[in-house]
Amino acid sequence: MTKKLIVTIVALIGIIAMVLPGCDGGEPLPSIYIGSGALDGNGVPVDFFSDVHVRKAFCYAFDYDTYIAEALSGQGVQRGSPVVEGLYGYDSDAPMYEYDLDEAVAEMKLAWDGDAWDKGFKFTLLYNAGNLPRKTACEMVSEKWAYIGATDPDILDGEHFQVSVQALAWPTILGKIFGARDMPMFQIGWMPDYPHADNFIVPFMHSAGTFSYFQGYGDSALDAQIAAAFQDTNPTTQLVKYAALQQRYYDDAPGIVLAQPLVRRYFTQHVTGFYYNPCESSYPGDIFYLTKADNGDDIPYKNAGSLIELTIGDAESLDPAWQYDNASLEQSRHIYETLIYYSGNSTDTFDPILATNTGEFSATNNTLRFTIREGVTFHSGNNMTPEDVEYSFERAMCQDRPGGPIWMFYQALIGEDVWSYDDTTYAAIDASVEVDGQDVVFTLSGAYWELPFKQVLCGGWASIVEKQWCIDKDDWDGTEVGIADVLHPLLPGDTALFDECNGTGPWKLSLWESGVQIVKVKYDGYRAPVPFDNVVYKIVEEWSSRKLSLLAGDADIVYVPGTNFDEMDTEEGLNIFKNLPSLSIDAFFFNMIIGGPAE
Amino acid sequence: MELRSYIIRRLLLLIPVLFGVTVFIFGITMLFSPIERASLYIRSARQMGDIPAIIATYGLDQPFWVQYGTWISQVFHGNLGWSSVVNMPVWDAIWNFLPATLELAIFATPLIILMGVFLGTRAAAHKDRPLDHVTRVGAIAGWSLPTFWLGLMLLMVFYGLFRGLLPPDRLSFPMNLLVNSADFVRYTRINTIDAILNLNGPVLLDALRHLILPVITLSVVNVAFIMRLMRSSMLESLGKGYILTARAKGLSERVVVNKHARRNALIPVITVSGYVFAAMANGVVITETIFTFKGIGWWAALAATRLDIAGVLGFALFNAVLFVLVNLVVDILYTRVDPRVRLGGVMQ
Amino acid sequence: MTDWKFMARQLARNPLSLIGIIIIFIFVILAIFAPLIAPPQGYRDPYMIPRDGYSATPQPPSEEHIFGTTEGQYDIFYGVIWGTRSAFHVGLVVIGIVVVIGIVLGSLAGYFGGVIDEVIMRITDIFLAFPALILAMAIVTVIGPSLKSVMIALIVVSWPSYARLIRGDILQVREEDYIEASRGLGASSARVIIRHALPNAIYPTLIMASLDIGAVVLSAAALSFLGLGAPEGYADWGQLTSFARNWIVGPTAEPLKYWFAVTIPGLFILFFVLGWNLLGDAFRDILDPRLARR
Repeated sequence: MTKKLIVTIVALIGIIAMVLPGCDGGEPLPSIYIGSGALDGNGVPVDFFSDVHVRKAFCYAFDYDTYIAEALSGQGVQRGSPVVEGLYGYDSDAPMYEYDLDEAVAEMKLAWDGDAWDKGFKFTLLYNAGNLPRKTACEMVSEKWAYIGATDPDILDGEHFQVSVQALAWPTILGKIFGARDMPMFQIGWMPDYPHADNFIVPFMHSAGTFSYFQGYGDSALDAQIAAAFQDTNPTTQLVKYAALQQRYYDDAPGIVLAQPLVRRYFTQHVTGFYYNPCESSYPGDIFYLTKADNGDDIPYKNAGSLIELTIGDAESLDPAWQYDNASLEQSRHIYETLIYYSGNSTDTFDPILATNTGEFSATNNTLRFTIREGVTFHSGNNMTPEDVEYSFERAMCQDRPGGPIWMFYQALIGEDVWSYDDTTYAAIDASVEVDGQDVVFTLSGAYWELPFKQVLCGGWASIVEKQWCIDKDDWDGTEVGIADVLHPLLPGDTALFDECNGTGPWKLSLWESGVQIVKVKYDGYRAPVPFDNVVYKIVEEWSSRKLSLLAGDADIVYVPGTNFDEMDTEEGLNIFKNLPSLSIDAFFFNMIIGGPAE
Repeated sequence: MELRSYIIRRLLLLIPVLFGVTVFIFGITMLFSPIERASLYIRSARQMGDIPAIIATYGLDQPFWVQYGTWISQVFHGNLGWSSVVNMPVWDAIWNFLPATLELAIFATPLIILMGVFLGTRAAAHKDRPLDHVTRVGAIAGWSLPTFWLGLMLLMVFYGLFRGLLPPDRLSFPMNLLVNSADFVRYTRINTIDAILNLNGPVLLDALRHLILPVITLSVVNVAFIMRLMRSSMLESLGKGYILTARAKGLSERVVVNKHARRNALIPVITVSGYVFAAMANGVVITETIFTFKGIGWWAALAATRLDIAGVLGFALFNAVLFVLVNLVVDILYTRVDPRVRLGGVMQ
Repeated sequence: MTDWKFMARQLARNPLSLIGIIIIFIFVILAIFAPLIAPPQGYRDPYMIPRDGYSATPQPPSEEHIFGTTEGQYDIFYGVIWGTRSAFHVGLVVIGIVVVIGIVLGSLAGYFGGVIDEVIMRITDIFLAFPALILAMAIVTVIGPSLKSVMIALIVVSWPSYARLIRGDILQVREEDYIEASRGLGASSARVIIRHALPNAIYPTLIMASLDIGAVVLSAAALSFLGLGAPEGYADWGQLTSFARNWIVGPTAEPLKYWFAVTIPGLFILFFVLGWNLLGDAFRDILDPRLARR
C-alpha cells in the first residue's frame, strides 16, 4: 500500500517537473556564444565582425531614436563617435548612422560575399543583469533582425537572423570582456578623466586602448594618427585632425555608439543657483545657493542651515590622491580645493581658485607657472604655502596607488612612456614640480599638454593638502627614503588621509560613517560666505525612500534613477533641471576576434 | 563536571564547522576566474588597465589552497580582511552593524514568542472551535507572506499614503545629528538603549517610531511558526495523564491550562527559540534592506550581491559561531526544563 | 500506518485543508492551461514576457493589459500566469531533489550509524550553521543569476533538514521488532530500509515537503526580488515584484498609483504559498500520530 504511494508520488513529481516544458530560460550557455561557430545559419565564425559591412549593417539597423525616447526617457543625444559634445575636439559635423533598414539590408548583402545574408546568423548578446537600458538595447538589436528576416520577401523567416539575449553578473561580464573575450558584442560605457577628445579616442580606437585592444581593433598607422592629433600644438590643425578621427570612426564602425546621456537634477525648491559642469555629470557638482524670497530674505525650510543629499554610493576613500570613483571625488569638491577650476559650463576655459592666474605657459622648457594665492588657510588653521602645493603633487606621485588616477600626472609631467612610479625616478618627480618664490612651476612632458594638464588640475586628485599636517599624520615625509612606506597602497585604509581631511574648502569633515553617511560642517575660516552650516550625504539605496524624503523636505537633493524621470516631472515644489549634457558615452563594441587571438 | 565537559566538547565541534563553512564559500568564489575576481576591486571602466597588477598584488591566480591558506593565516593574526562594500575591516564592520540588528532582535523576539505562546495556547484550549480556526488561518497567512512584499506594502501605506508617518532608516535627520554630536553618548549604539541611558526622550521616541514597521515585518512571519508549535505541544500535553488527574481533582480549567499544560508545553518552544533565531537571521536581510535599517543583515546582503568575498567570509564565521553557541544554550536550557533529558542524550 | 481513505476523509472534513486543496488546484489549472490563457508570441521563449514598448513607467490595467504593465512594459497578466509554471517548477524540482538526497543520506546515516552517521551529521551542521538566504545569495551571485542557479542554491541549503529528519525517523524505527525479525530472517540491509524503515518515515517527510514547497517558492521570490534570480523579463513572480521596487510610492497626488505593480504579483505568491501551507498544516494534523484520531 505505502510502496505504491511512494512510487506514485515520485512519479507525479517527475511527470510534473518534466511536463512543464523546458523551464530553463536564462540557462547558462557554454562559453562560446556563437552557436555553431561557422557561417552556416546556426552560428557565426569568430571573425564575423571583422567585415566592415557586417558592422555597418548593424549600425544602420539600430533604432536610435526609439532607444533614446523610451529606454533613456528622452534623456540622450545620438552621437557618431565616442567624442561627445563638451569635449575639446568635438566636431559637430561628425557623421553618424541613421536608422535605415534598407541600408542595413544592403550592407548585409555585401558582407562575406553574400554568405551572411544567404545563410543567416545566430549568436547571443549579453548584458549585465540589473541594467534595463542595456537589456533594451540588446533586445532592440534582436528584434530588428528578426523583423528583417520575417519581412524580407526572399526569406520570410523570423529566425533567419537570430540574436538571443542573456543576462550575466557584472563581474562575469568584465571577466569576459577583458579575459575570455568570448562575447560577440559587448556594451560598456566610458567617462572622462579630463574632457579632451584624446581621453575618449584612445580607449575606443588605439590598438592598445582599454576597449579597442580587446575588440581586436586598431593598428600602428591609426595609433600614429592619434598621437599626432594629441601632440599638435596648433589648435586649428589639431581640431582638423580630431575631425578626421571622428570621420574614421564612422567609416570603420567598430561599434554602435548609443547615446550621450543628458542628465536631470532634482532639488527642493529652496535650493537653486548651482553651477553645473558637464565634467561632473555623475554627481551634482559644486556649491549650491539658497533661493531668496522677493524681499531678499531666506526662505525657511525644514532642516534649515543644512544641505542634505541622498545618494546611492559611499565614498571609497577621502584621500584625494586615491580618488578615482565618483562617490569619493564628490566629497573632495567640498572639503578640498584645486589650483584652478572650469569656468562655468566650459570645459576648456578656467577660473583661478587657489592660484591667482590660470597658468602661464612658457615654451622654453614647456613650463606652466601658477602664482599661489596668499591668505588661504587650511582647516587646521595654518596658512597655505607654495610648498604645500608642491608637496600635494609629489605626494600623489609617490603614493601612486594601483588602479588610481595618478597616471595622468606621470603622463603629463614626466613622459610618454611613464605610467607609474615604477617607470621613473624620484629625481624626475622632484624636478617636475618646483617652487619659485610665490609660484609653483610644472614642467610638462610636451607642449601639447598645456590644455589637457589644466583639465587634469581641475580633478579631485589635484587637491591641495597641507604638507606638515600630512607628515604629522605619518603620510609621506617628503624624502626619497620615505617613499617606500607609502608607495602602492593596497587598501583604501592603508593611506593616512583615508578618513581624515584637512583642506581649504568651505566645509570640513565632521563624521564619516561608512556605508551610512558623511557629514561636513562649515569652515569658519573660509574666505567667502559659506551657504550652509552642514552638508550631509546619506547613502540610501531604496529609491522610494529617497523620493519620499525629497518630497517631504527631509532631503534637498536626491539621486533620481532614469526610469523615474517622467514620474518626477509631475511633482510640484521641485526645481528640476533637464537636458544637462554629460560627458559619458555608452556603446556596443564589435568583437572582431571572438575568443581572443589564437595563442 | 558533566556540564563543563559537555560544553567543551560542543565548542570543539565548532572547529570543523567553521572550517567547512569557509572552505565551501571560498570554493564557490574560486568558480570565478582571476580576472573576474580582480574586477571586483574596480569601480569604473577607466581602471580596467590595472587588472594584471591587481591580480599580481592579491595573488588571485594562485591555486585554491594557497589562497585559502593565506586567508586562514591572516585570520589567526586577527585580520579578517577588508570589506570593500563598507570600506572598513571586516571585524570593524561586524561590530559596527551589529547594534542595529540587535535592536531589531530585542524588540522582535519577545513579541514573536509572547504572541506565539499566547495565540497557541488560546487555539489549543479552544480546539476546532471558531477561535482556533481563525487564529490558525491568520497565523498561516502571516507565514505565507513574502517578507519583502509585506515590507513594501507597509512602506507604501505608512510612509507613502500617510506621508512620512513611519519612515524607514533608524533615526530622522535632526535626531541623527544629535546622536552623533557631543551632547549624546553612544554607549551601545543601540539607539533605544542609548536614549534611555542618556535620559533623552525625543531620541527614544524617534527611534521607536522608526522601529515599528521593521519589527512588524520581521515578526509577522515568525509568529505563525511559534503559534503552530505551541498549539500542537499544548494539545499534546493537554492529553497527558497528569492533566486528567488534575481535572479529576476538580481544578479549574484555567489552572489546568496555565499551570500544568503550559509549563510542559514550553519545552519545544525553547528548542524552537533556537529556530526563531535562525529565522530572524534570514529575515533581517530583507527587512534591513527594504527599510534601510543598516544592520548586519543589510551588510551581509550587500556583501553577497557585490561579491565582497572578505565580507561574506567574515559574516559566515560570525554567524557559524553564533549558531553553535545559540544551539548549545538551547540544548542546555532544554535539560533544565525537561528532567527526562540528559546532556548528550538523543537530541535532534 | 494510516489508511488513505481515512486520510482523505480527514482532509475533506477539515475546512482549512479544503481551502488549501482548492487553492492549489486553481494554480495547477492555471499552470496547465497557461498557453491558452496567455498565449506566447512568436518563436521566443514563452517564459520571456512580451514587451509592449520600452518606456519605464508602468501602465495601469487596461483592456489590452488586464493587470497593467511593469517598468519596461512587461505585461503583468502574462507574467503571473506563466509565473505559475515557474513556481511549480522551482518548488517541485527543488523539493523533489532535496527529498531524494535527504532519503539517501538520511537512510545511510540512520541505519548504519557510526562513522558514516558522524560525517553526514557534521556536514549537515556546516550547512545549517549558515543563514540560508545569504548562502543562497552567494551561490547565485557566483554561478550567475538565473532560475537554474536559484534552484541549485536552494537545493544546497535545503537538503540538510531532510537528511536529519529521515535519519531521526530511521533511528526510531530501527529498534522496532519487525526490523529485527526481518534481519533475523536474513534480509539485506537495503531491503530492510526500503521495505520497512522508509515507508514509516515518509509521512513526516510529506508534511515537511508540502510545507516547504511554499517556503522554497518564497525564497526563490526573495532572491529574484534582490535581482539574484530569474533575469529581467522572465515570468517569475519575484522578478515581477522586483520591477515594482522603484514604484512603491506614486506621485504626491496619487501615492498608490502603481499599486498593481506591487500588489498583484505579491498576491499570487501569497496565495500559492498559503495553499501549500494550509495543506501541509492539515497533513500535520492528520498524520501526526500523537494527534491521530481526535
